Amino acid sequence: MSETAQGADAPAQPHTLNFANSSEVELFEWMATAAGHTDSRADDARAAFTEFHHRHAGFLFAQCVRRYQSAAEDIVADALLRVYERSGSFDLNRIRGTVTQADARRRVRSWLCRIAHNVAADYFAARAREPQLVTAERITTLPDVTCVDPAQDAPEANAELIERVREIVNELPEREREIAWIIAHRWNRDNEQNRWSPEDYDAIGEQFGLTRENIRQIRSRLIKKLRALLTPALGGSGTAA
Amino acid sequence: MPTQKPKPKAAPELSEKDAECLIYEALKREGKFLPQTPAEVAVAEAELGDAEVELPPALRDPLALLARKSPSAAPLRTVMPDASAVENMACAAKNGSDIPPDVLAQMDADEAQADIDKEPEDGKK
Repeated sequence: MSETAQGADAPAQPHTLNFANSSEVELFEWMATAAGHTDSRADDARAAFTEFHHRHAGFLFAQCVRRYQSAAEDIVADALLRVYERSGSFDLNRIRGTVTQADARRRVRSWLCRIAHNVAADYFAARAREPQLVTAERITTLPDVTCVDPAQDAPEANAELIERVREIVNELPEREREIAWIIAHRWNRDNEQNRWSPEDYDAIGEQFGLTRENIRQIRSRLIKKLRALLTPALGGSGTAA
Repeated sequence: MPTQKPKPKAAPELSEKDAECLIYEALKREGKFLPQTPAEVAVAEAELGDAEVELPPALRDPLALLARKSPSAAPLRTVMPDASAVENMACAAKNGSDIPPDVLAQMDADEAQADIDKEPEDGKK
């Protein structure tokens, strides 16, 4: 499995492998094959995770704290834990072969950030109704842990329209802007769906002292406004609100 | 000969999906979302530069993180059946015989008890 993991360089735990010089592929291989075991392989999996944490936790936290402030700590912790638990679902072919070390690192980090993005969405939906029950519905909302293919970056949408939407969103009252941001977390550009349940709206609403109906109305108003303002730009018959 | 003007085609209207997509893209350009592609990560890395990121105490120990209970990985609650009843059922299955009367009686009693336990809860509604 690992060609560079070394057992002799770990003075504190002589039987645990040292992954300092291991590739990203090797870290994932060790985490994936040994996670969940209770024997010495589990120690090796944890050692691989320790190295993964050393390489990527700082970057993820820096990105999260800018966007999620006080929630960043919880989001990062949960995202890293999910990486460990689901390391086997990472498609290693994305970072094997001719990919440079920097490319591999960025692909791993894009996957990690995508997980954290989904964790954040769960956080917004769930924090008002903890403790959570694991239900079939919740299991279906677990994050897509497929590695992001760099070739599948979002297609360049109409820059002018996007710029106009930025202006419209920035003109919203602060609370509505934040709600629009939270709701957009569940927009899935792969299957073009925005998956929030009525209970999720309840949870989001609770953070702002609003009902699910209020949240639904804020979303509808924004879409209506965009439709009115942007349809003329599409050559349609919408009228400005 | 008068020619009939062709009717203008129905104008496209911004669909809800398109609106959602535009909101997402607009907020993404504002930097409101985490970088999610390698290209976006490259930009984020360049912005971060060589700055040392200090993790808060709760995130510093990777092994302590693993000890946290993941909400998404929380095990489903399972109800453990009475061990002796299971053993009796297994014996009956192995021997191909009928379920002993005492086991059947115990099953009926358990069922009745479960109904009793359930009643007050239903009554609350």
